Amino acid sequence: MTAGVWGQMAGGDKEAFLTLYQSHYHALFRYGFSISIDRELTKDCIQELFLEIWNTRHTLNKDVINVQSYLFTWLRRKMSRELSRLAKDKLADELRLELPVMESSYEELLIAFQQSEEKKMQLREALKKLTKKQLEIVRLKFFENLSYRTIATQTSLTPRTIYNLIYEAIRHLRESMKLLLILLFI
Amino acid sequence: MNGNKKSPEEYQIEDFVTDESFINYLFSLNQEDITFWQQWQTEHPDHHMILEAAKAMLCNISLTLPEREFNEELSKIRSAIGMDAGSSRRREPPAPARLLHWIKPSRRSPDRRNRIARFALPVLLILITGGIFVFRQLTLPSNHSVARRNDGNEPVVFALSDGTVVTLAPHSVFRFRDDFGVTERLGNLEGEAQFQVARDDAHAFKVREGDIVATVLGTVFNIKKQPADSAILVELLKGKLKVESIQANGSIEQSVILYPDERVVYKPRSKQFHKEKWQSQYDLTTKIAHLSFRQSNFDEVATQFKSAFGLTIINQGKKKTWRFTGEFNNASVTTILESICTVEKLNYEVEGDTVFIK
Repeated sequence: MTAGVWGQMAGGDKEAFLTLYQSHYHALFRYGFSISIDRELTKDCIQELFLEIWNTRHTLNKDVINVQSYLFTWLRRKMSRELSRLAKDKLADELRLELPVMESSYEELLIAFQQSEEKKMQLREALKKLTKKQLEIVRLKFFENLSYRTIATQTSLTPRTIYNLIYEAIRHLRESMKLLLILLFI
Repeated sequence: MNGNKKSPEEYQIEDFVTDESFINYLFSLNQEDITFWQQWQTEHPDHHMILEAAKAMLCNISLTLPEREFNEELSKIRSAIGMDAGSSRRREPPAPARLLHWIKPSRRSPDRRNRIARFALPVLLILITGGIFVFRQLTLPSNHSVARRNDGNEPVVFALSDGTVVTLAPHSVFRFRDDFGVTERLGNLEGEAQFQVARDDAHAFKVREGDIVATVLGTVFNIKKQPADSAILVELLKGKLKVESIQANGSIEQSVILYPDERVVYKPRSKQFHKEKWQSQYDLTTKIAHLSFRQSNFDEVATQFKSAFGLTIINQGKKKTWRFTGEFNNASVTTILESICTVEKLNYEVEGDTVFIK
């Protein structure tokens, strides 16, 4: 479906462009944030990426099959250029391509994503109570965005068991973060 | 999958967060789900607080920008390309009166959806184990490759952009072109990994080691290296696999199709391979069995392990009484142990032919 939308976008269709933006934004953000651990930098890079796509649409390959892969590639190159530039380090510039895509653990990313110190602390405490395996399954579901079925195949458990494990973890997090959620609405 | 018997009216925060249809809505992944939840929200204004809390939680654990922050980005890009930010937005709830072609959301019929998923998303399971495993002659231009390393002591699981799920063993590196899946699906592995390959007939999944190329035709297989590189073994457990040896100029020297319980033995020195029958040797990761547990306690689990794998299990866990239910088809010792320990929140260690549950 997105391959067709990509073609329309390349032909100058603004609605198709926005559809692409909306359907890929969250995955791109998650990916960019895991590379940079920097919310604002990731947002800026994604905006630039889409503007570049729009401005160069006439020269782009119109038959991209896997749009998501294509966008990830573009964003990764952009962000590693940006990170090297920020590091102002030639060595880093040369080595950047060997940088592992994800250096931070999911746990670190979750904490870094919180915007206040208080929330960071609260989340850190809440996460401590989850077992390693529970956290891993939560990561597969919400970070890797896999379906219950895929995670089940991966772990040889049933989708039902995976669902229950995640449900239990989420309920625990919700209870630990209750105060936080209430604070959000004051 | 919607593992919940409750109706959305009875949902707590965790029910929303774990509902795949709700996730699809929040991440704009499925138009039917988007329509359903937008409609549901307008019809249930009294659930506003709980919905917002669920959204906030989902955003936090998935590292997703909150709706408000995302909408700011969206309006920036709209004005940048000269679209009036005030014109109708796709994400805004359509007026109920205009919902003439209301499509029942898929979450209402999980069975049907599962059936579709089974056809639409067939997943091939590929197991690649072995020593050093490098596609030497596929030297990827370094400025186009990405490396994922696992320097820890636990396997790391991640998804590639084509949907393939990779389990990378400790002290292993997986390299792939940064346009993986756009043109070809080629990886480069040092160490061990398991690939659950997303089916894509247009882009074959190829594995190369030295002069040997294995092309996946829906398969579970091992690639191993014998000591001192004296031989490369490609062993097939399940499915169908094409194995080819190629010459320096790229032309195919030999080609063979493998069926289950067959393997190719390749001698790099003579540059020749032959096909033979094989039986999987005792190995924690390759020995597989069918085991079924129904409310089984430790003793019953231990008995089944003994007869299937010849392993002795010793219970050293603090939690002595537990019951496990699960069925494993062609699963390895590690898979089964991992599953039991995940569910029962236990750990295990293997020493020789003894497993210690901790």
